[in-house]
Amino acid sequence: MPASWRPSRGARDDGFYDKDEILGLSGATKMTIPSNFLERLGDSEKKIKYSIHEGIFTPNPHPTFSPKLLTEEEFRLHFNYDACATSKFSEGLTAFCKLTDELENAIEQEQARS
Amino acid sequence: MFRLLFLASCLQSVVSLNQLQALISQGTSISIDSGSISTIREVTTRYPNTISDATTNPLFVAQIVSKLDSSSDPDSALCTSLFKTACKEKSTELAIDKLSVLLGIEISKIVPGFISTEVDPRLSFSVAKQVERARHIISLYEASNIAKSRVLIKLAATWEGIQAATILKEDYEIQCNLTLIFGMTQAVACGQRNLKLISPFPGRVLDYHNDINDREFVASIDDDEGVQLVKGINKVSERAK
Repeated sequence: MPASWRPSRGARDDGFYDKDEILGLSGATKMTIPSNFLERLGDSEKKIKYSIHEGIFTPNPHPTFSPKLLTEEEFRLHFNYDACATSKFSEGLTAFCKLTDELENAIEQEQARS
Repeated sequence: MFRLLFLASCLQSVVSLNQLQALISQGTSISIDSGSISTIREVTTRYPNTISDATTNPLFVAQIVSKLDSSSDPDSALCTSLFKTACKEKSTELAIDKLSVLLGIEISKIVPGFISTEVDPRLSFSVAKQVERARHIISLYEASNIAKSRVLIKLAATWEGIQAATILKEDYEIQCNLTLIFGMTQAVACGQRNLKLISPFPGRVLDYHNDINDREFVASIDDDEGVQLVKGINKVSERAK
């Protein structure tokens, strides 16, 4: 269920490339799409020429994938090797935690008032 | 099945489908990523029979606060009422869960399929606390007559999140969507446990590679590292079946 989208080839004035990540993964089981992109997709009848099943893909670096389960040590070590995954995960989780702290403060204030 | 797929592809060439309908004809179901009730209602009405599910996250729940007593937001009165109801809970933890579920209940009145609620992200490194809060969230939905089969619990795909999702699936028949997936290791660990759903973030992965390569965009969709990652994950999960 891919859940974040960017214009891969840059945002052009006519918006031609702006939903190409979504179209590029056409055929994924589920997609989570924000409302502005839903409107752009719903308003276009241009044929989709891509598929999730074709093109270049990142290979699975874990030859032991099946049937041996990754252990906790292996999971943490391999996750640590992946600089993109560790930095983007940290960024995403930290942002959500800070927002939840702020929500908690607002709730505490409301609870103290009533 | 083959006949159905064939018909669907014929349909696209004969009748002009919009791209939402075309995605669905290729086997994709679509979830709207929004915490705004008025937006969800507007978009699902404008494109009927295309959007089956809805996804929320801690940002959308936190945004309720900014809509309280707002004169410009169409959801202001509803959000104020949800927030006041949630704040009657005994603790802030219970109030956060209640507010998240109240938002999910409102969304469930609009979309026919899955709704989703994320467990407090600050618990992402505790198996036991994530299991406990997920069960609490499901109990709140069930008290409002929403079956757990309609709810996806979102958990960050830490080691602990993946363990919690496995326990929730095996012991409680609660389905999870493992989120904040930015690499193959998280996807493989989820795939090995046959978890219901994972959410990789191709856009964020592309941002990372654009930053480190000091570029603004890639020449072709095939060069997009986020798209490549999701395609690789898809291949791995097909092999896991």
